[in-house]
Amino acid sequence: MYAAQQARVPCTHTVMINVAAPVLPDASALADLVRGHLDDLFTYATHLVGGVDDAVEFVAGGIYHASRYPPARLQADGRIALYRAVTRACRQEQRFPPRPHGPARFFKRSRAPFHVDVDSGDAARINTVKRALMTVAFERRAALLLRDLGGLGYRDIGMALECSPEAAARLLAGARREFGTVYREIAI
Amino acid sequence: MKCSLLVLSSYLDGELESRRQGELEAHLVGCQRCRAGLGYLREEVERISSLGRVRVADHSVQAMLVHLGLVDEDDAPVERTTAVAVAEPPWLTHDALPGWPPPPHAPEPDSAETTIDMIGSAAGSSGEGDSPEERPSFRWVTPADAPTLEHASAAAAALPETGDRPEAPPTVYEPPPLPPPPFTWRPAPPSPERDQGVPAVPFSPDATSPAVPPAPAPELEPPRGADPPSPAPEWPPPALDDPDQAPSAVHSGGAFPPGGPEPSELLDHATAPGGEPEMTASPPWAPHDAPPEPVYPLTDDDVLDHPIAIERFGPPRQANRPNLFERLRDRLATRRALARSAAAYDDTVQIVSGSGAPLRFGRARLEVERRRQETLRMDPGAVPGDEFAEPGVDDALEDDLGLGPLPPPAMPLGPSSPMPRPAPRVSALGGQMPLPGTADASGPLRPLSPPGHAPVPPPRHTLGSALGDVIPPPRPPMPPAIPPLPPRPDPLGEALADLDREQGAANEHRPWRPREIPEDAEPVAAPPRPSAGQVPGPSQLREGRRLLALFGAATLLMLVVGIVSGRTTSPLPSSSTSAPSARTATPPRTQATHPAAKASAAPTQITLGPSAQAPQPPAPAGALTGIKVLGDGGSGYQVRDFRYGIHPGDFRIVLDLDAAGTASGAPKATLGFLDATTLVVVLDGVVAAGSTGQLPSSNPVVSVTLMPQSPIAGGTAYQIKLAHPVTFAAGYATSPLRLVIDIAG
Repeated sequence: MYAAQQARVPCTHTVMINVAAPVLPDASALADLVRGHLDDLFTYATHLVGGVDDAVEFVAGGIYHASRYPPARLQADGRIALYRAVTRACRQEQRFPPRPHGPARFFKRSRAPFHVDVDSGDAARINTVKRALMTVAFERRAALLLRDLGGLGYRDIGMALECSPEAAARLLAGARREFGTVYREIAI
Repeated sequence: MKCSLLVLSSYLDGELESRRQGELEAHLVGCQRCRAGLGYLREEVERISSLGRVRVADHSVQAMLVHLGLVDEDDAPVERTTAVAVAEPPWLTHDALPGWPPPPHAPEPDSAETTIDMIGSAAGSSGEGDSPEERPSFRWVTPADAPTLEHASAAAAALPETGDRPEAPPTVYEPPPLPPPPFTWRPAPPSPERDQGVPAVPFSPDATSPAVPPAPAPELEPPRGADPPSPAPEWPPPALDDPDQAPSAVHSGGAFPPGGPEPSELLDHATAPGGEPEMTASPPWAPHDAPPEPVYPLTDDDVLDHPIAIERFGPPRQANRPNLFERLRDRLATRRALARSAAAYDDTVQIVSGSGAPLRFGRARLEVERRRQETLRMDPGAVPGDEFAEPGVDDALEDDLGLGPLPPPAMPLGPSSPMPRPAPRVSALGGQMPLPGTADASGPLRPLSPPGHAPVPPPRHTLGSALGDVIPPPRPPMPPAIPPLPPRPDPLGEALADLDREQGAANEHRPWRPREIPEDAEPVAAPPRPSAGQVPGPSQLREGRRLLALFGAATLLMLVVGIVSGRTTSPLPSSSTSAPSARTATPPRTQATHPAAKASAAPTQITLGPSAQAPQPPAPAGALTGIKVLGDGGSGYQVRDFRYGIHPGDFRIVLDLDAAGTASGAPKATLGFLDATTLVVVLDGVVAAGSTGQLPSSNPVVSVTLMPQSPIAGGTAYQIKLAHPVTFAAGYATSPLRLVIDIAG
């Protein structure tokens, strides 16, 4: 087949094919990106999982995953990749450092505790909005927070939640309806 | 256009395309419910946006990055540059207003750089620990802040009174930052530059040549001094040199806090030093840039006062006829949706929160149906979902997001009010009463129209009709109808007409209603039973199969229960119930030296060979081998106790017998081997003992038990299990009477 194509199409010009591997960003670029959006990521994860302590471990897990599998276009969608990694970490409870599990944990030395000084402020207080928010399903809650707290568009929300923009729109609309219903019920 | 929460949400987020946006805005004009839903959605957005923020300390950020392996420990900590630097707008520069104090959040005049932090909460709820030193904070200027006005008042207090009527400063008049109007406010789409966190760029104090182009408009607050917002209530602004009009113009927007200075006070005292009018009277934008009048009304009052012609988009497009594949796909999808909805309520996005929304769970369908019925009874022509849906709207978002039944739509007032629709012609079945409010029910109440005249629909009660401003014009009398020609006989046409009527009657949709049976009606005879040769219907077959399956399952369950209970209660009969396989019956041998043998008949010693070790069930007396019979048939005894003794040559078992009442003689005792290792002792006319005593530790006897069923009828049988084949000798000893069994081997 290839020979036939070559015979039929004379090679009059040089076809250049980029066979090089995509240039992955180095750690310093990712570190700069993390520095810039760490507060937002912590805020998002805190309201997503309902606690600051868990959010710290989940955000660290997400960033650790993103450092191992960095996005190819860090400057273009690095922020979305971070949100996506943190969302996956929160959904699958991927913590950093990982919690020991199995019988081997009795014979291993656990990692050093991971401590981050976080000024949660109002985010740690439980109010009616947070109670109503925690009653919403995870995906809907994530969509709600990504839009109204993170300011992401539907396309970005879809990338963060690994769904289409249409599905993100539906998630968001459903989340607003559910959140509003629950909030009005418990806010009386 | 249908009411759709998804469309409202997308509209609120600015993700709706322009055409759909226009349609929605046109729909919002006449739909109070959607306006309320949009307000609810906006409140929810504000609630989520006002959630608290988390702030991570700088040293923790560096430690965390080191812990994650992104940076080395030797690397110097990098200052977090989360700010997006934009040129400071001219309305925030104190240079534009010489003599005014700098705003509180503005840098010092000698400061060369200014950064605006976009990370702070858009609602102004940044973290409590924020400080300008740690993190350059920025808060969007909210109407409550009104720094320009406050500074103006402060400056006016500091400046001397000149008595001159000052020229209106260009920045004093600012477009009143109204709360976001429902139809013109749209959040700007997220800017990629803002999202990616453009590093800080030094700010150039020269406002006329900013270092970088201005950032796009923020989401919640339009920038001051830029293009004024479209919903300005009065436009163009009145001439500011007229002090009588300026306050009202500024105040009409409601942009000033209740406790703040009045605009008139500002104009009276905000005079530049030296009385020189450095502020021009013209607004900072050109008059030709004035925004157009708001296209859509903002409140219901505007709707009532100024009816707006809604732009139409021409006749609806004719949809293409679906091909075979599409029809098949639709039918499959419909069947699947029906099957799925029958199992569980589809909880997709279709409900607007707030009043009028259906319930969330299974009751929603009943509630929807109830509301529909109520609506139909109250206003037969206002059944939602059938008259407002515009065909040809090719948007898939409308298909699955119906908001359920709507209340009867309010009829807009004015000359453009449509004519009331006639009631649907819902005919009741035979023997049924029509629903109240339907055409048939209201038929007898109306005067009969003359023949040849079209029936006049009943007027609907609207506000306009109540006030009397809408008077339906009288209908001109219709000319008498031309009498039709006598029909010609057409048998083919009549046959086709009859066929059409039959098919039409068969295909007519008739909603089910309970049949009303008159009181004087005769009882209906029971339907005849189907004959033997009649073929049962599918439902009967299905029911029969179900019953058959239930019967089979019950039978199988009973079989399993019986087998299990039988195995636990009684052992299965063994095939080796016959006599022991190998028995060697030797002639009995008298043991004269045995003391017990002296007092009784000579005991018999039986030698048995090895045999099968399998346990044997109770066997009749004929199954015993090596039988030894003792006693003379006495009665009235009972076994009191069992005693066991280990002797050098044998193992002795003694059964102590007590006389129960009048006893005489010795009871008949039959001893024999059931198998090689089972010795059976049967006592006639003897009551069994309560227990068989405690066996010594080491002896050839394994156990002594009372047999539930004696191999000899009427006897009490004890089964002596042996560890190995043995021989035995038995006899009675008197005073007191006891049975002695010596087991040797």
